[in-house]
Amino acid sequence: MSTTVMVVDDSFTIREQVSRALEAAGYDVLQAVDGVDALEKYRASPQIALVVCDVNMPRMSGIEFLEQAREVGSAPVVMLTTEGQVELIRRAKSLGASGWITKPFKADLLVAAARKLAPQG
Amino acid sequence: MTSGAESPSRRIARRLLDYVVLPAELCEYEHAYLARTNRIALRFLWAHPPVMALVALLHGMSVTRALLYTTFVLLGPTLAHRFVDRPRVVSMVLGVTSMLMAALLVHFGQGPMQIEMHFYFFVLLALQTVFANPTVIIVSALAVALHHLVLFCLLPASVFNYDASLWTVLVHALFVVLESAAACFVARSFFDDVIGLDRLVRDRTAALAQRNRDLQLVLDNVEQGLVTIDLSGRVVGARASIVDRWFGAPPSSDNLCDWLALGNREFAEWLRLGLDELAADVMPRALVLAQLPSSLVFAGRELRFSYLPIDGPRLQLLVVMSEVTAMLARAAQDRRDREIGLLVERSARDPSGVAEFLDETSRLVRRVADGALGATERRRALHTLKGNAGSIGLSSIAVLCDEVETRLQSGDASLDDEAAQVAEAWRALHDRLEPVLGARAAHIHITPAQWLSAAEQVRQWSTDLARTMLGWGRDPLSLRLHRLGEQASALAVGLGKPIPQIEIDAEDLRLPRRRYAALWQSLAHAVRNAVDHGLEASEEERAAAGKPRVGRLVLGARHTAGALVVCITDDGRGVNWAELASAATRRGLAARTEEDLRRAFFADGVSTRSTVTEISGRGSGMGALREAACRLGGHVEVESEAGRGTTVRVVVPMPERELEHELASARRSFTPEVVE
Repeated sequence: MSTTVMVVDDSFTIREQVSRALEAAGYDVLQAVDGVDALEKYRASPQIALVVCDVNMPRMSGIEFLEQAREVGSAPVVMLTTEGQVELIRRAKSLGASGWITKPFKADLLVAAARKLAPQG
Repeated sequence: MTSGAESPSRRIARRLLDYVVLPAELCEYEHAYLARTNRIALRFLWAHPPVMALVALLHGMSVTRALLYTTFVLLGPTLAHRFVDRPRVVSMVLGVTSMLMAALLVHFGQGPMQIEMHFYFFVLLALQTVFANPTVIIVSALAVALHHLVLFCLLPASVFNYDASLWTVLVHALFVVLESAAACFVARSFFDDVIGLDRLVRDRTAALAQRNRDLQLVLDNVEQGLVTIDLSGRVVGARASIVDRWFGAPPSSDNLCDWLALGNREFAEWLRLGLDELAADVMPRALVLAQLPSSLVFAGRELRFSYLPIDGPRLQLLVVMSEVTAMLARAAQDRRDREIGLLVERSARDPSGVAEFLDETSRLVRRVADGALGATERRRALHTLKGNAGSIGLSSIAVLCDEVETRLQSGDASLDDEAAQVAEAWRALHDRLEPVLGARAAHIHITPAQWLSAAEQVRQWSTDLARTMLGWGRDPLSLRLHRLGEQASALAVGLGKPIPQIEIDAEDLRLPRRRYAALWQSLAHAVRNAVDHGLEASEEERAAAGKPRVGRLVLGARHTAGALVVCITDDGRGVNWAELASAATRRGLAARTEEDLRRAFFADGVSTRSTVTEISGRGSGMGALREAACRLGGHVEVESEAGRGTTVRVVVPMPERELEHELASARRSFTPEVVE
């Protein structure tokens, strides 16, 4: 059974880029468009081994998602950020985020992060 | 250098000698060690006289002699120890003395124990190893050998208590040789491995210090900032001096993040965050390294950072910083130049469009900067400005407007300050564009076909007016002469001569372009001649000749009696007619009359120049001018007075032609030339 990663981003382009890179590396990818959507899908799919989550999203931001995700599961969460958000990253880290990936990202580094945080079975 | 040619036996001998004889240099440690050992050895030897007296007494020998001999023998090492400054030599004296002591023991121990007394030689020989010097042992062994041989011949009783044969002596000698060889080995090992250790350590320390000095020299002079930090950001080891010049004195924490925070808090925060991330080792190292901050602006300086991990007991990073301020400035300058190039190109296609853009943009910039207007209106002008600049390809202005808009939106910028920035940027650009594009915009632009057809129509009403209109399509004489003048200035600069004062004296006259093209080109030769040969090499030379310091070059043209007369006059050295005469004669030309010489002046291949430069001196320039004039049915003249200057005059007929002819030639001059 392959490992599942949830990709959360309100931008279709980013979501697709991240998903394609992870799928090419052999991951099963589940997409969510914002924090609310992500929480619902997280509750429904406890097998999720890693969450790659945007910070700025409508309805529910990545930070709010982080706060609530801890009650759902313990999968590592990697934040997708743009440059110049030191405070947000500090906040996310304090809420238990494993790390961050700056947009625009390099696919191989993203995959390397996924492999380290959610090794494929 | 000779070792290659050395015979095997010589090589062995040399190596043996190198083994026995220590390297000349005496290290501090050996010096101290030998001083102490020599002192102890001397005291040990001074303990001998009473013992020797006792031995003599027990063996029925003279106690007085025993005391006397031993004391006498002790004089040598005592004096050596006192006065000789070389501890190795003192060791040798002590070594030989100890052998003499053994010899005295054998001598005063005559009787049944005499053979046993020989043991003392071997004991003392073994003890010599404390000097860590094979030479001492060899010298001592030689002393024993000499002693035995001499006494065996002269006073055998001093050595043996029986009638020993020579063989006995040889057996003793063999034992001595064996023990000496072993003792040499021990002494040399002692020297190399114990005494020499000190030198080894010192050599390595010196080498290390030298390497550190070399490294520091590199670090002091390298253009890049090189700093090694640990994962807490603390600066480890030496760093490039330029880092201190860029960032000032380091903070007391010696932490690079704190240091950078002095000039750029955000960069420092990013770095700190990244280092924490590396230390946590949760995310892949390559990812974290790639996300470490790379562009720093610190005190107006732009730096690029890159990071190299140094694996070790604890991960460290080599931070490499390069200053890119000048590079970025150059790139910005290139971008601006490109923009201007694009605009000039566009202006060639669409002069009025570009002129309109310039006016409109200036108007918008004024509105943006106009404090009397409302903020909304000013922002709207800014937005329009951004759009206009972008659409015409002035991306520097467009990007600036966009940045300003972003800053205004975020609320932490004042509209007045930002508007001033935009106005300044536009002014700088406008100042460069205006001289190029403004003049173009002031002209009326019609096509040659429109112009010719207008002239055709006008001709029906007025021939004179048609002629005037046709003249518009020709080159103004003054323009041609100005071009020649510019060539003259550039040439003077190229030759390292003072730039002459250039005067243009042209009638308001226009000439058909093609008909005179060759003439203008060859007139350039006359200008070159004037600058290169005519005008003096320096102001001093002119002053010495009693002339104004700055030379004069007059380019004149007028229309007289149906002819065009172009004059190039300089007030330089004048033609050296005598030299020209001999140059002409060398070429086989007549050089008797003034007329001959004038002809020679314009002849091909006659040059008074001894060196040919890339500019002039081949003697063909004036020939070309004469030919061009002849082709137009004219001629050339030269007048020159030594020391006063030269005038070259070209006269070509300029007949008043039929209007029909003029029209045809105007049409021709605006159609591309057909090359067969």
